[in-house]
Amino acid sequence: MMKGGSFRYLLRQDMAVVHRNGYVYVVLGLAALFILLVNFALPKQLEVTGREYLVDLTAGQLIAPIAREAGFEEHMLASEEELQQALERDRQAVGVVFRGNREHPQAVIYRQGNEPEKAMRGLEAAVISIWNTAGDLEQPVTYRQELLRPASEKPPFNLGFVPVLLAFEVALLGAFFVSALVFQEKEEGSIRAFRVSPAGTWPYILSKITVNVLLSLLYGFLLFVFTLGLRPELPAVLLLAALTGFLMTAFSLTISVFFKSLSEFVYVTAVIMTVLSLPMVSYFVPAFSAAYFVFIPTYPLVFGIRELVFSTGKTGFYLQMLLILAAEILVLLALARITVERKLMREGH
Amino acid sequence: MIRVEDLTFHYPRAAAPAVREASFEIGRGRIFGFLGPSGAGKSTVQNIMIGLLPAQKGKVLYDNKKIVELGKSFFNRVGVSFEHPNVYEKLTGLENLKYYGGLFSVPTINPERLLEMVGLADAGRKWAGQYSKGMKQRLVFARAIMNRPEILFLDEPTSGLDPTTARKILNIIIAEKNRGATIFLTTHNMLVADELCDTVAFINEGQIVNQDSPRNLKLQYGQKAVKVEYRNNGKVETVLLFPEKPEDRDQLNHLMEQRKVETMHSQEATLEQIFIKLTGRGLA
Repeated sequence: MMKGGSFRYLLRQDMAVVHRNGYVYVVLGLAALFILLVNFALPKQLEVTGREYLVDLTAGQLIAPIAREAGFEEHMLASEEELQQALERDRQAVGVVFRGNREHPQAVIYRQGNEPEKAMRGLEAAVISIWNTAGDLEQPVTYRQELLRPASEKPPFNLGFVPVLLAFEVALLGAFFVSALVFQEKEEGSIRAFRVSPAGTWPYILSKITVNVLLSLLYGFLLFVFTLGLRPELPAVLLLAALTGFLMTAFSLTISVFFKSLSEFVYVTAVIMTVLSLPMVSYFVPAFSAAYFVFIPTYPLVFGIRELVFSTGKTGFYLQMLLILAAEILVLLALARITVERKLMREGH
Repeated sequence: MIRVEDLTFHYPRAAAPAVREASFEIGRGRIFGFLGPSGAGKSTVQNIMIGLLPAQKGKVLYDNKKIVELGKSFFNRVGVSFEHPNVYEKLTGLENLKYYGGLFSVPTINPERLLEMVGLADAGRKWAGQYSKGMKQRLVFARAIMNRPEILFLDEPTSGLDPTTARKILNIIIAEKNRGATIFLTTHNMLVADELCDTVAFINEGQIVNQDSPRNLKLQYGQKAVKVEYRNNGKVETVLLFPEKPEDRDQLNHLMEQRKVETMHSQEATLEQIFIKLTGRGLA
């Protein structure tokens, strides 16, 4: 038998092992579960179940007594600034700022963006009613709605989950699969046979990375297409998924070689997953954020996809995320090479 | 030519060195047996020789070159069969060989042919995880010879095999030697070592206590004796005679003249007996 290119054989071997370990079915099952969740379980829009905050900026404070009488005492705020802060904290609340006077009755309704239109029409009616209670109006009430984040029309509630669900497999589960493969090879001892083969460390690393990237692409493609549809952003999203899968495999290899078994590694995995989840929390609760989050591998994926699909108009953001990922890949690939060579390719570890 | 000089290795936190100043040479196309009980340091020496452990002191030279100078491609010329079978359990026997063969940049033997050679042709499409220990051992052995190695490291190659299968493996080892392979055989099976090895080294507590050809060791440490079974008053009796002693030589002549001898065997020391004599302990 004459052949060449150990990478090709290692890749086929890793794919066969991944398949027989059932990882492909886990990925397919997870994709199916999340597709069903997004399409059928999560609502497109949230009902307005939250509070309504009011600010009375009318001449002579015409509205405040009426609001207090109507039971809004606790929801009355002193300024627009306080209102903005309250709405940032409570992502299901809306706010109304009353302005003007009886001659020019006005109101501004601040909304998060995912409120059903029916609920908003009800709120508009309530605003008019409150003004009418304030006395004889010379002109009809003029009002307008404003989104809290003007550049971003909030995506449908259910589709807003897609970036996070995509990151779940690509960044968290995929990396765990790679570690499991390494520990399986240690346990079986098959890594000892590899150590005394002519194949080097690079084909070993690149094969593991390729397998995980392929799983990431399969999962990403299915989740994206069956939730958001065949959209032009798909290739760019898959590129992000592939780079994140690449990065996380290198990261996983770098760390897992220091441990003897999967049971030892589980505790570390818990810490890693917690750190990787921080940008996901930040995605849902923007107030929970820190500058360094951008360097956590899940950040570029989650926020890059959001920017691609639900654009907030940040110019160059996607490219910036790609560059961050590329830089992190270079660093972690070098680290993976060193740790795999020193810890995995030698005896006694 | 493989030359090992003053090899010493001390595992971290171990009370004593695993290997102490081990030196030996293996000529091209020879079988070198490394004999000793479990924990004597055999595997440590082998691991240093194949580059899995660094030599803390001393060196291993292949045609006067260190393994680090030879690079990864050196393993195109090497085959290693491990004592503990290490295969991908979720791949079939055939796949294990096929994918491993792909790592070499030299021609390799067809995996199906290899399976046939070691008696696993019928099990080639079963997952290796379903194999018995002996079957896995044979699979690992087949993997070690698939690149027609110039240097073959065999660690207990017949361990756990039934006599017929063990014979098959021993014959392959002899064929490998005849092909020109240099073989480093680690074992505690003295019969295997006696049959196969050109030279054997006894290792105990990390030190090589003696090394020579099995014949020379037997001559050096064995006694020249003859075990005779003869008939005396209708009963078969046995006597051990040392022909170098005049009285024993006379008795042997007498028995032969009287035509009383039924069987006669020369008696020589086994390698195991020599090992015990040298180290004061057995090989188990």
